[in-house]
Amino acid sequence: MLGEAVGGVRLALRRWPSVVTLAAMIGLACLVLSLLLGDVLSQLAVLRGGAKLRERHAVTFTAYHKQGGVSNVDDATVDTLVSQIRNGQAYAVIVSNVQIDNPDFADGIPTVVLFGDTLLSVFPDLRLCTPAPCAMRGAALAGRTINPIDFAGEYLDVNAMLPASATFFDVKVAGLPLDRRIVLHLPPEDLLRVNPIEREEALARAVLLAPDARQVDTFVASAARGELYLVPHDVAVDQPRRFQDLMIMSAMYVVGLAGFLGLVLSAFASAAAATMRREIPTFTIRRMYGATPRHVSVRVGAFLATTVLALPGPLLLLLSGAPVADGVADGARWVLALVAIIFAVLWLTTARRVAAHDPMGG
Amino acid sequence: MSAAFLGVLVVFLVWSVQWALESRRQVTFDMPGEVTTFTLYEGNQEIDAADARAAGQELRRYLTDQGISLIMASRGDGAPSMTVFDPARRLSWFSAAADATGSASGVYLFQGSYSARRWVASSVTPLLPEGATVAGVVAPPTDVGSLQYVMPLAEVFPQGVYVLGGASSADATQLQSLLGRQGLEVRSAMQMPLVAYLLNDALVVATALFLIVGYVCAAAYWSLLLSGRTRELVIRCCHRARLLTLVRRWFASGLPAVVLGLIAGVSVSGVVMRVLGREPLTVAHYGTLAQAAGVGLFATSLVWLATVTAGLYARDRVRRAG
Repeated sequence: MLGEAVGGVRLALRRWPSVVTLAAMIGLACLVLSLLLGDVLSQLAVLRGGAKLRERHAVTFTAYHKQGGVSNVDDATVDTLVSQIRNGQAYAVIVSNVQIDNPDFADGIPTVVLFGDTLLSVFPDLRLCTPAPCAMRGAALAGRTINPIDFAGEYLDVNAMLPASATFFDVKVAGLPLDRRIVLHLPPEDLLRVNPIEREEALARAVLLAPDARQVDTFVASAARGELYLVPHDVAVDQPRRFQDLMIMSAMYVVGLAGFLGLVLSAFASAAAATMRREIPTFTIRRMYGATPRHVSVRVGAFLATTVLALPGPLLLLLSGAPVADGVADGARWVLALVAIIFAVLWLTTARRVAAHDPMGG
Repeated sequence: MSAAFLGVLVVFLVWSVQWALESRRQVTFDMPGEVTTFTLYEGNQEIDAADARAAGQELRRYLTDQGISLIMASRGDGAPSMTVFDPARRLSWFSAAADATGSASGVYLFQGSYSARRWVASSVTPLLPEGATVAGVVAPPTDVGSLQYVMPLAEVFPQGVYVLGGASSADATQLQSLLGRQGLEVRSAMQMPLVAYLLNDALVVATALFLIVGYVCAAAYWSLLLSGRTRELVIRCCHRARLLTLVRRWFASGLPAVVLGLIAGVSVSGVVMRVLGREPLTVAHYGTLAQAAGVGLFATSLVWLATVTAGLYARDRVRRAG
């Protein structure tokens, strides 16, 4: 059997220019797919998140900040937002500025703060811990020792786990992967206890659900008095184009990558079929001298593996184990599984095609 | 089938070019001709107020004398406003709001913005500076993002994005030095020629590479298919068929599959966008798909013709040599 496998590899190496070219193309396609798959998965979260916000007639804001300093929005404005969150009519998050001046906060792990229980019904897939206050860690932080977190007057152990590949739909950055983040789920009144930079971000990222025009005007006017200018966008009415563009972009990523992989694979499949056609006489002679269908199948498999697996396999294994950006390792694992399936299908069909030409009856 | 995959990739490329053009329009605010952009921030140096005012007046004079148009827009600092100075009357959208000097004659709200809607409905304008009164509503350039209104030119120029129309690089240097006297530091400056802008766009470059590699794969696939017809070629050549006639025939016989495949690929992209976008496609979207179909048909037919020609000539040479 080993001899057959070596023979298959030799068969491939005899056609090294085309084999190397195709292996390089498949390797390139797999690499690009791995790098982009994480991105595509986030984009799919954008599709779902955007649709959910539109169903709830959400109003989001674009913030214009005070020049050269932090805005000074009064407690009354925050109080209004707190009661809206409590009534399930809004939610607020802090993503970028949690304890920005304290690099040791949460043992240096990026932290996202979510206020109120409204998010439980808007994004049930997140499976947030309850009741607030509570803290969760991303799937990639399993097993890591994290000291209890002291934030906005709450002292929280970070024991609960987020589902693997959890992604938060954020209005500003769209899909926010949470695998390497800590998530604090806090009661809305804690908003009054965060520092001014955090308060500014929470107000800017506030999402009001089906508010009336007066509520929006009051919120915008009172924030503007503190030099935080919030331009409201009604997700369902005012900004469908922006969301549609985002969604179309995600859709194009998915179909574009599928199209590219399809082209590379069809080129390879036809090259493999042509090689096998040329090798039919060799296989027939080998069968006459006692080779079983299994021997022929191993030879075909080794030939295909030299092109499909030799370069992309180690590359993807390396990527899937490497400490790379969120999603890329996952993407590499998915692509590895895909390549293995494609290899199995190719092997099966090619071996069957060779057997069909076998004068000894396969 | 491979033509269908190519159709998908062509749509991806055309779409990414459109996004790049759209983002360029967002940066240039439809400024016609040669465009230069700066991003300016307030520096830390001490500024003499009288000198800053004098520099402001000099700046106005320079822009008027040289016929340079200037748009200043907030990048997220300060109020969501834009300031325009257009002494050369380049900006058609601004003419309704401009005074004799080329500055806005008052605060004009952008049509369709939140502020304009609220002002028309109930005269409420929470995002306007205190004490400002609205002079009217003006149709904005193609895309102003979340900016709400255009303001008259003040003595001291604000920080933010500066878009210059009709300025040479010497003008740009002179303007930067005048703005420096007002305490503004240039963080980034960029000439915006269209081709360079597109070549700097990562998505455009990536999708173009995908398409090129896709065409290479398709050509390889097609030439392998053609190799299956070598026997037919030999017989036809024995019957004195001319190579040019064979190229024409083989090209024409494969063309319907190429056209149908490509249209299928473009249509599938449209259907996926419709399904995932959850919104009916607009006329502009259909226009993009039609453009992609046109570009794709042309390029794919060309590659198919090249593959047929190269394949036939190569095999003919081998046959003659044999």
